[in-house]
Amino acid sequence: MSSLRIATQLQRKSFRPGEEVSGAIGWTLDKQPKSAEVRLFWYTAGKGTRDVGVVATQKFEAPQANDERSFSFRLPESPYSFSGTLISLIWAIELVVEPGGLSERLEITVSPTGEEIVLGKDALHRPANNAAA
Amino acid sequence: MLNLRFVTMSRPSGIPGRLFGSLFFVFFLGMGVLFLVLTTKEVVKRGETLRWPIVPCTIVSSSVAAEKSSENPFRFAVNYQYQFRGRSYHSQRAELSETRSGNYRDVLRMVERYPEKAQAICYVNPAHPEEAILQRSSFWFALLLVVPIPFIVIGGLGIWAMWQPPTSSLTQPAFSRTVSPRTRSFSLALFFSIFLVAGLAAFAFLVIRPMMKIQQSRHWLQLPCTILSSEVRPHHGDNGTTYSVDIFYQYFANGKEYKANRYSFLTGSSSGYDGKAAVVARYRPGTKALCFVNPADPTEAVLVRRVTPEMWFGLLPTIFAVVGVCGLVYCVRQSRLGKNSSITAIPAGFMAGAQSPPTSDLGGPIELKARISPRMKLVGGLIVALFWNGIVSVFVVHLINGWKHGRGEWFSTIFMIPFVLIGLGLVGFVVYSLVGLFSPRVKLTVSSASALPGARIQFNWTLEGKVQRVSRLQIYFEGREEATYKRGTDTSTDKAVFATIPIVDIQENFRVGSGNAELQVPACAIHSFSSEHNKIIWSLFVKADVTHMPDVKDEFELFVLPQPLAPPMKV
Repeated sequence: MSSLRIATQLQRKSFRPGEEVSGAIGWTLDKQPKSAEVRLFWYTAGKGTRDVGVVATQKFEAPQANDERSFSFRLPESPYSFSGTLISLIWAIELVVEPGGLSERLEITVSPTGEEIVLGKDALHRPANNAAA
Repeated sequence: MLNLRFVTMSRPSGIPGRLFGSLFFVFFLGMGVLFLVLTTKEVVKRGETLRWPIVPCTIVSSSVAAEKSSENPFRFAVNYQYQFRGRSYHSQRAELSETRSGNYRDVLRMVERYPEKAQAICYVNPAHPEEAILQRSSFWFALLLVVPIPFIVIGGLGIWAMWQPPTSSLTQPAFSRTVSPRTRSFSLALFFSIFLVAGLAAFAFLVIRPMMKIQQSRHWLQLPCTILSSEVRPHHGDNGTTYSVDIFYQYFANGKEYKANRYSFLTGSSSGYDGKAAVVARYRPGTKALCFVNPADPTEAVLVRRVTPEMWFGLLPTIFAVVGVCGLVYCVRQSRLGKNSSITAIPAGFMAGAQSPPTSDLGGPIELKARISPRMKLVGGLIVALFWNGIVSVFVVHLINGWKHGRGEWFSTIFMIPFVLIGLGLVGFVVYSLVGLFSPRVKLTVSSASALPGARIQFNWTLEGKVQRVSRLQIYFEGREEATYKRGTDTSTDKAVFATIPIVDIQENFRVGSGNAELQVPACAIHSFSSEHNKIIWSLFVKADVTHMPDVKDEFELFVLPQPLAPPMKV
């Protein structure tokens, strides 16, 4: 039976922009794959058509049928993980093995606070600013 | 030490779902195969004539036969005699299929090519010598073989995919696999190219070609002619009946008798009946008229060589061409964006998405431009209204004609009501936008068009135009989500405001003309974000209530930046 595995260092799920995300991935397959790579990316979820931004990719040379490798990525300064009424932006690390398009995904949170930003809660209504006419 | 998470995913594979899906694709495949078989049979049949031996023949009789009951009333009636393997045969076939036309001249040309008693060649089927033709059919027909191929491929692949066993329990599309914007732009460009080509082709056929003919006919001979028959010819189709003017007339050129049935240079039929009936009434059978004859080819004649009212309808396809051009321009711009900043690869330390803060932001105060200017609103509304009403009007005119002639269709009329209401709404929007051009204009100058959360932006505003009619002015900062998605064939964008920060609210008219204020971006504000279908937009809104005129609501986008990364520590 085939299986893909993915984990971050110390099983961390929350990161700040600019931080390094590192960890290990592994797979057990019936036969030797042609290629294996891990991608750092964000995607949108919600009402809108899904958009995807692949930030970095790490390819693994000579992948074996049963293998385990480590990975490391530097996070960019944006976008932050957020969730609103219509859109959520989710960061993830994905392992993709070919042929067959096998994949496994691990979701993480990227924001200055380390927590997903909830729209409407964090952007507060404020009193009127000073105006001079 | 790393702990690895083991996952096993299952793929749903219900038999009823597969059966339903297969049925859908079988229909596709079946239609494609049926069309391919029929087309191939015809191509093979035409191809076989290439092996038919060429034999001399004598034309016994040749004429134009008129059969009024047919929509293509003129038939090439020919009889020729030939010898094959020592035996004499007669044939009445000019081509594999009957040679017919709605245009008298097309058939007359055949008569002139094969006149009585003339020697010609014919092609004889060696297996059935009683079967012969004067002309081989065109092989352009073989191009139709391409048409069913997409249906067969889609149908075949669909059925194959339905019954493919899952290769692995882990097989699921990787989220990070994306289609590049350039590929998407190419597909879209293909779609708009069809609009453009169809629009231009229709324009060329309905306007350019008749206009060129009108120009050429300026030097034609003006000759007296006798009207032989005159009627409005109906053409029955799937979408109802259309009509054309059918006037058959006789004239003499170079001492020889000719006949023709062309009324004007715009051929074809349309839904209006009354106009055609009025034309027919002017050309009663037996009456004399003047017709214009091509001196170089006296078989070519026309009754009216001026621009007829029907020709103005030829301008309608230009709407399709305009839509095609606008779409292609959009595609080229998208493709350039894709070249410069693909959403699939974001440079580290830069804002997500294609949009970046304006470069002009570096040198102090700048005047912002409204996201949608009143002129853009008017032009956009006008294009949509013309496009929508152009299409709807074709059906409405057809329905009105039906009612006028006692053939009203209740179901079609009720069906069209919502489409007409939408069209009227669009016309209303265009009128509203037009009046809106005369509402006061807003000028907004800001100290910076982009800011970090917590930063302050100074701005000043000026209203121009009919400021005395402004009863209230509000300026507020708003953050909203925009999600674009497809529902069926429609693309919709939903918006949700998550933050509104009032800044200015003035109800005294003497104070609204100009002023300045300060905006503080909330410290916890999410940064601006723009990907292809999803956006976080921060904007300053200037809203003016205007008496007896459309209110002003202009939006000026500002960019909230993400917190810059801390510089790397020096060791």
